[in-house]
Amino acid sequence: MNGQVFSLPITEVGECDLKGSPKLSPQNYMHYCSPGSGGWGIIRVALLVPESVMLFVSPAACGRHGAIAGFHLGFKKRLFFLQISENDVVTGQHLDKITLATAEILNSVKPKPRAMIICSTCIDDLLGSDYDTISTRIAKDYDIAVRLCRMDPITRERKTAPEFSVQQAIYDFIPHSTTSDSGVNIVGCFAPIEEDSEFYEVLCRAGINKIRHIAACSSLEELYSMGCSTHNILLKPAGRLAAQDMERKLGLPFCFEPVVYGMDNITGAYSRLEQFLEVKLDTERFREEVLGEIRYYQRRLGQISIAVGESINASPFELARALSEYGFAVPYIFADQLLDFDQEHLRWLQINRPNIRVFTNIHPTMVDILEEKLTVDLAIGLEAGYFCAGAKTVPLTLDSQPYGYRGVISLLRQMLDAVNNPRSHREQVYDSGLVI
Amino acid sequence: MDGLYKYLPPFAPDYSGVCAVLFEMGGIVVIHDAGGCTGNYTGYDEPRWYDGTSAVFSSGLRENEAVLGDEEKLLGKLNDAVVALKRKFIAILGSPAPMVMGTDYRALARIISKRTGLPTLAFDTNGMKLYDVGQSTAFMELAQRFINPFALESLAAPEINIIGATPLDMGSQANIKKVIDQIKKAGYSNISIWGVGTQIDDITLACKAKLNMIVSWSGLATARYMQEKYNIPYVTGIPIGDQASRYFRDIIRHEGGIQQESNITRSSNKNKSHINKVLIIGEQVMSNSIRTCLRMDFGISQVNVASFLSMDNILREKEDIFLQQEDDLAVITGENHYEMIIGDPLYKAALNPEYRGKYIEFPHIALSSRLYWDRDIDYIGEGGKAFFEEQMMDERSSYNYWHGREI
Repeated sequence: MNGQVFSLPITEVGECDLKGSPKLSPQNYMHYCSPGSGGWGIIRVALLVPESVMLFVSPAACGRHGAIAGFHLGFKKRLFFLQISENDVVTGQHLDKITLATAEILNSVKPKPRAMIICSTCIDDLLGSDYDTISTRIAKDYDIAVRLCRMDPITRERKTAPEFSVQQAIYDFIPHSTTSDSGVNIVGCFAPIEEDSEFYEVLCRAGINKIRHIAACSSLEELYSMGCSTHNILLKPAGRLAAQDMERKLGLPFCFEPVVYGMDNITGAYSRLEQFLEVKLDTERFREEVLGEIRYYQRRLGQISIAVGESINASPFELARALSEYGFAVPYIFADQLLDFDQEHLRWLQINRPNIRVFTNIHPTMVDILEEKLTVDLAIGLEAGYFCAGAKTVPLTLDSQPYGYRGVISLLRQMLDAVNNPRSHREQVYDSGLVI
Repeated sequence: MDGLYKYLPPFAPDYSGVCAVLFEMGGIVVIHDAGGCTGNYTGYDEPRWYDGTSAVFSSGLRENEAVLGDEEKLLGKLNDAVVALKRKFIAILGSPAPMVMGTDYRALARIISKRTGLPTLAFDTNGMKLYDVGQSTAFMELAQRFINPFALESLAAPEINIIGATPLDMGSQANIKKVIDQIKKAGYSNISIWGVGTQIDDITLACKAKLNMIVSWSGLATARYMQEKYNIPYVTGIPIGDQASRYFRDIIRHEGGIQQESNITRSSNKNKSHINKVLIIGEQVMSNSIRTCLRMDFGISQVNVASFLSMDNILREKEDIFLQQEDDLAVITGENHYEMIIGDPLYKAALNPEYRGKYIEFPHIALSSRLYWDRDIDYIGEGGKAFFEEQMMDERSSYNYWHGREI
């Protein structure tokens, strides 16, 4: 061990240091990248568009992880690379090659793609390359819907950071619809809400039969039909830009109601959805049912300690609060940022669980974290599983989308499964196809 | 089409090559990027990352710093990291975005070294060149910066340096250990493998070695530099196969007089294979060594090597092929009537659709990354002969089996 690994007592999270920077946010540090960090990545998100292909225009370095994840997760056949050379950077020739590459891709892919996403990277931002003109020309010449996205992490502090702008790009395929069918779109998340969630039944009983999600669309027409819905429910902050765009262009109002795991938080979310959708949502029965099931899982799991990470399908602070309320001990949280949504839950934890330590995932001292020998029974999140070596791990990735009261049961079931049938953490990391 | 890759992923980039060499050296390695490049290396190019604790970081470059050329922020972050983590040296590496800005890494390294008091290496990587170039630059930098012929003799001097061994080319650490076993069998005891189990101090007396053994193209430039400057001969090759490994041990026993391993064509007719023409796709030294195995252990004389990576003319046979773009693979496998191809599994998708021969999968981490890096192939020494013998007989190598299967 070379020195102390950086961490904060939860009571100091939210404070600023002497330089005025948030203590938790390591903007002024080198970034460590743990084996458990990452997520879906821009390419995988963009390829949610049905019947689409992506042309990724970049240096070799930028596309490699996306391509390997593509092989692993099965979307590589829809992903093509136009590699930029040093000469291209000087001459701009790579921009001329995009049209030729498009022709070759469209001729070789069967069935012929109906949508195309062209993705550029940081260097084209800095070069000021004009992709708009190129995409307009390609759309016209090849009669294909084309949208642009960027994998440009240097803009991460902008409102149009890549994780926001890629969602803007995929929903931008949806045209304005002149007809309406009172459907509801779920946006921001990458998988439809789990089938066993009461959400579908609750909305159906309120007269809302069509609940749409991009990953459930098998054709462009189905994607376009999201324009017939009347409301968007935004589940992830990264979809906010897209939701705002859809509100402006398609006239679809949205509300942000992320997945939460605390019973009162879920009740609050349904209450706000009632107001937003202007319908009565009958959820009481489901709440009672789930309370009974929670007691079963509490007995089965016992008094276990749990570390909570950030790369999960949850807010780490809300989840830590919920787990604490269910009677579990949460000694550690691993998080790099504090969103507005987290504030209420942070305050609760500061008052009720002041002994929690919060580690910043990307702080450089985390390179020595394993020497701290943090011990918990269970970790939620792959990075938490890595930092607490030996803990049984629930990845709780974005590959499935729990929601509502039954979302709690989904989580508890995964926790019990991890306790009873632990998997190799290394295999869990590799299977997840994480991309930074 | 030039630059278009429909089937293959991009190869590991130059900064991954530098990082792979420096991974175990005990320094702070900083990729000047926004985060994606570092994640690419740590997640997809470095099998040791999961179990290791090397201080490899992203500088967390942001647009304003890039556009305004604000390098003070980087210097401040580095200074904080040096205070928090006690390490022996610093390396700063480039990525595509700072290349556009024309970042002067050598100047940065001088400033960093002055402020921190630590030796600082600068690598002008840009993510457009490939890992082999990065590795080559890193090995050369180590030789030029850290070898000190006047260092105290109390330090243990190696008898032999192995240069060019990284997981990107050699795969699992087990194979690197088996190479060491082969060298020990030849009578050496003090063996230094640059980048694997060695720290920066271990390079100091590398010039006292009797011999350099070069196991990938990326070690060649350093070997030639050390030959010229310190009069150390070098041997190029990896002991793959039964007879080839014996021959290899003979050569390194006679260290000093051999400048490079000749292209061995001795064949053993008793093991003559019915296969006549083979293509090996991969890194040049690895592929040449497999060729030697096929010739000596199986009597196959017509073996061509093709590579998308750098190829040294001296190590190249007349019919070896440098592949400039993905389409070239379809062209050469359509024209040359190969009966068997050896290469990373991902190359199969880019072959000529008319190819009907055998395909032996020999994963190369620099291409297929973690898709196959847990596939533990024992290819060193006698294990190499057994592996290829088994694969040639295996039904899974036949066209009817491998064609059309999903990766």
